[in-house]
Amino acid sequence: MLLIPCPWCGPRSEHEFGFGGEPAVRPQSSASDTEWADYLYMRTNPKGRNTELWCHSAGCGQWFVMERDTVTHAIHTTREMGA
Amino acid sequence: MTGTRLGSGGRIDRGQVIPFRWGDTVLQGFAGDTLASALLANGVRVVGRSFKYHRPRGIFAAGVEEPNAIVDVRIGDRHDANARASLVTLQHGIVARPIAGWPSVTRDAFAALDLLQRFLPAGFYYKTFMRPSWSRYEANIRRMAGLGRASHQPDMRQFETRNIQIDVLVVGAGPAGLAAARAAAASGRSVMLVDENPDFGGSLLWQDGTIDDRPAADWAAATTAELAAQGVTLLPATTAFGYYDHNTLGLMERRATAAPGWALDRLWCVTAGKVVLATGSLERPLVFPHNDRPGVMSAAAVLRYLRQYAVLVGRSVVITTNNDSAYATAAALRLAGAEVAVADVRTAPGQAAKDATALGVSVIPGSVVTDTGGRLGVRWADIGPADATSKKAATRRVSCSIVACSGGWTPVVHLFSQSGGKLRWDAAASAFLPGIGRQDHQLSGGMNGVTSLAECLASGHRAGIAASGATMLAAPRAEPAAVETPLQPFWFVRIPGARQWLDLQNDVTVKDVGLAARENFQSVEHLKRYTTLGMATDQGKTSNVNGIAVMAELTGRGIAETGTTTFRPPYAPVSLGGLAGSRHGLLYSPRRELPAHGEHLALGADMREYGGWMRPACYPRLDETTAAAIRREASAVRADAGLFDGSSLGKIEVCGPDAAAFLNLMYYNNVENLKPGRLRYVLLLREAGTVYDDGVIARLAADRYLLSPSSSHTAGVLAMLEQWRQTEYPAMHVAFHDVTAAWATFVVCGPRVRDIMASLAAEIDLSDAALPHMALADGHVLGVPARIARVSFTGERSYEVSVPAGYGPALWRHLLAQGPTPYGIESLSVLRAEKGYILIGTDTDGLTMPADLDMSGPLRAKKVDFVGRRSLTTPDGVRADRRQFVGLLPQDPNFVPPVGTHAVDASRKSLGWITTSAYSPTVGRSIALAMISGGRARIGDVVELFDRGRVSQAKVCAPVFHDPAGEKLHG
Amino acid sequence: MVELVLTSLADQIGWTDSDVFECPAPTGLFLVSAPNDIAPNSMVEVDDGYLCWLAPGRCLAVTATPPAGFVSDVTQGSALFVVRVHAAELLAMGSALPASALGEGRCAQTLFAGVKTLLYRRAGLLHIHVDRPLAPYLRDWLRQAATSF
Repeated sequence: MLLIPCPWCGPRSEHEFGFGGEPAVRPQSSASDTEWADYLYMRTNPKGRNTELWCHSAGCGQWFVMERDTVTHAIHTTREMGA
Repeated sequence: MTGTRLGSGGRIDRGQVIPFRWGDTVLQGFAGDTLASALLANGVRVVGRSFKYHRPRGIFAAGVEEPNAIVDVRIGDRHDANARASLVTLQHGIVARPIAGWPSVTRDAFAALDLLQRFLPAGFYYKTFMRPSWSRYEANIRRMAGLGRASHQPDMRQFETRNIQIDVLVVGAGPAGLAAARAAAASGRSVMLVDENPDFGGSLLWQDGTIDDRPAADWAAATTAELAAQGVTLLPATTAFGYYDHNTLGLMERRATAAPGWALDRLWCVTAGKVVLATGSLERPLVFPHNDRPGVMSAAAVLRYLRQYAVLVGRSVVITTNNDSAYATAAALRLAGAEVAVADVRTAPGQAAKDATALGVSVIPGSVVTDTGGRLGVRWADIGPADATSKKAATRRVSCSIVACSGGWTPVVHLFSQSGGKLRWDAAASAFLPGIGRQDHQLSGGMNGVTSLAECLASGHRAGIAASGATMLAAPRAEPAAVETPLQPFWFVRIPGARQWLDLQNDVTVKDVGLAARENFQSVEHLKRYTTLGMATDQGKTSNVNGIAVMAELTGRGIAETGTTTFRPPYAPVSLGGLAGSRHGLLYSPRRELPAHGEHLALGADMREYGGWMRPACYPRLDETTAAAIRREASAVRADAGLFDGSSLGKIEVCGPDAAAFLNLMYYNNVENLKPGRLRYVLLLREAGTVYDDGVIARLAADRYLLSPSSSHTAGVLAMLEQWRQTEYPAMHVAFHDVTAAWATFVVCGPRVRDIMASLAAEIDLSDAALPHMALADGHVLGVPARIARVSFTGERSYEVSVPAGYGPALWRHLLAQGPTPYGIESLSVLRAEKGYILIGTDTDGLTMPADLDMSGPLRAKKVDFVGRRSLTTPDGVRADRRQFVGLLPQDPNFVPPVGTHAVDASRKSLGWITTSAYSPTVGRSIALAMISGGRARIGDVVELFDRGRVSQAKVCAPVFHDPAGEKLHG
Repeated sequence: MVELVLTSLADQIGWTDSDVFECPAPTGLFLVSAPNDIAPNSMVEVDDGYLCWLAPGRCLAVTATPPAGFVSDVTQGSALFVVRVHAAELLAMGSALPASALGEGRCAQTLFAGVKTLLYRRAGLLHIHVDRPLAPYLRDWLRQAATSF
């Protein structure tokens, strides 16, 4: 079980959180079909250090950015969005 | 010939006699016994039959690694169909019996299977029992194989779970673990010490040794007492079964007592600052022909039964070994009066052999047991050259009742591996040892390759300090170990055709590994699954390393290259009840109750769970079937008036200067031009353009809205709004409050609804001019704050009356007294189906887009971007053959096709399926709603319906069956 | 004119004196969204009650009168359970919350007995706020857990 350090609430059990995937920049509505499909479905999914969005759903309800290793599950950093 | 109890010695209490049942006989043991030690003390040899060949099996080991003694145990109302006898603490009232063997474990009719063993190698069921179909043979094969019989009674026990955060968790209370806990406790940090045995001390309880000038067992007891006095949390009889991420571990405690009705199993979810692994090592067997008979045992287990339980397993013992540790067993047996012969694979066994010879043990260097005999238990063993390659090699036959074997020691690295650590094969130690670890743990003792007592204590002490920072305490001291003669790897006897068992519980032999190798299942992962080696409930604790080594030899690879399979939790079997905890029966899943729940019960409602809420399905009267109740309720709503509890409908208040703009960016429909006091039916799409939820939005003021998502999607809609505001539009000033629980909402609808509304003495203007359809107003009813909305899900004139939740029961009673018919969800579903109103998740699925529902109008009117807009114009969004929402009228007006019935074309290819199907009392026939490819163009056509072989016809029509112009809303 | 009677939480869930918890009825419970400088996960005393931080710019006001800002009255929608005995054990049985989260003046939103709750200690007693529709379920959970002692 991951122990996730919420930027507001401190370390809490993984059960309290929801996973939001890799952040993606939302294209303008003028985007081509390919650009739009990439935004919807394509992510880099690296083996190793990755940037992800998480939400403390059963806690403060805030979304934040996490740097996590997808192989070892080590959590390197968590920070507020826009920080 | 068989096991006996010695008159003195052991850690049992001869003053406390414990009678117990084994099959049909009553036997006796003592406090401190396990079921296994008590059976052995009573001379019981055969405790089960092997899984595949039904060969007689006896007790092999003394701990968690026991592969044979799986028995059915009952104590009071507790029942374990597959208990490991070596882990069952003997208690009053135990009723134990073998789980295999018919009519008895000693006279088993299925023993005949062993005569067919040539036709039953590994994977035989992939080659035989295939025609005409496996299912013909499956039931019989399952009856013949298999383990204990589970009870069919519901388990009424409660299972407790405890969460705990601890600074230092020490797993294992042998010498290394006790030393580590002692050192960590001195630091003042919180410490927890766990061991799977009921008494702490591990091997100190049955191996010779002196620690700090005291007998090792005394040191263990004294140290345990000190730890207790220092406030260390001690958990004996507790298995640490899983090591997960971030130093969280799962422990299953087998308590000695619990409150009445509570299970003895207690799950601990531990979050540890640091972990010390001191899990020790397990002896692995030496593999030789016919090594599965009752009486073949682990040499270390023989010593443990002797020292800890005062059980002499046999008076004439042959020991076959490749290392020094078995000589401790030989010496102890000799001192207890047994005749002992040792077949040592090594040609120059060294000092331990010399000391044993001096005691009268007969040692034969360079030899191994090449065969055993005895149908229901060992009666003789042949000792021959260790390098024998044929049955004709010169051997001598020794009468014996026990063959104790020792092939080396396997460090218990399971938890280390589960935590992400990598293993490495150490040829000198002849063991898989921990390599690079991933988590914050310290390793100590036997699991880290340490073999002597002195080193175990020292390494445990160091680990405890590293985990806690204490430095002042001195390490416990023991005598340095005597010099040992190294182990000589010996994986199996080279006599061709000999049957040599690797996995006793799953009946896997060396020949099976050879078969796997020949059929190219050579990787260790294939070996495991093809032969089932290591897949039994003992999880290969006595067979994995031997099996890997055999495969390595047969394929000419090194053991390091062959590697191991992945270690997964649990380390030992844990009960499902223990893992479920409180989540069963009444507490299986959190349920929400309506404010007027008690009122519905009083009316005899059929309450069912919908999306986490307990809601009335219908209100059947005496002797009324559900179908009849639904028809009566639906008819009453259309003819007179109905009353419905809509309190579970979501209510999210949205407020802020940017509320309108934000909601317009989220919803499909334009909500910015919604006037205060008005409602609008809206769709919320996912970014993929598919419909996530529908609902009603009310505008309360310029900067304030009330969203009404469907009951099951309220949390999801709120989460989506928060996600978009926080991650995409953080500069917008808008906030959301979920007030669903704060209000009770009741729907009154039908032709007579105005009379009922008049009874509310509402201080709200209810005239059509002030409150038209799709409008709402605030005020008071019957003296309490209220909100009334005119919105309809039945197609009748309809009012939703909301009051603070605490007034719900009273308001329900008042409204009911006006005479409307209470109706439930099932009736509502029929009424809305008659009008073609969709239910999200029933009529729509994860691919449905607004145009499929013929709801393109709002899109044309909306100028700004919103969630999912771009997806509506992708190639998939504009496909001509998309499934569209239509109605179906089955040709037989009394036939109600099941939901999911496919509409098919001439070649039986599916065009779509029925999403809603019901008998409509209003139109007096069956109606259905469906999603059909190109459905709107097919209106008027007849399509074929296909449901699991049954074929019928239906006419495609517009999805509305009653009052298509919607006149009744204003009626 | 007939006025509607109020059903209290205690009546709704059939509270009895032998229960391990109380069901007090606060005079007011309000969700408040407004800028504030309450430290995350802490409680602040005010004239007629106290405020519990829920999120940046949001708090639960346990007060007689609603504070200023975007306010929603949830007095009828939030059920309050106050645990009388065995609070530490019940907390350990029901949640994975670190013990430090409920120190003096601290509050925490977390999963307890599988549902989202707001927890804090006040006058030494563990307070649990849960959505009122979940109150019967939480009552069942607490009653069952209490039989373990």
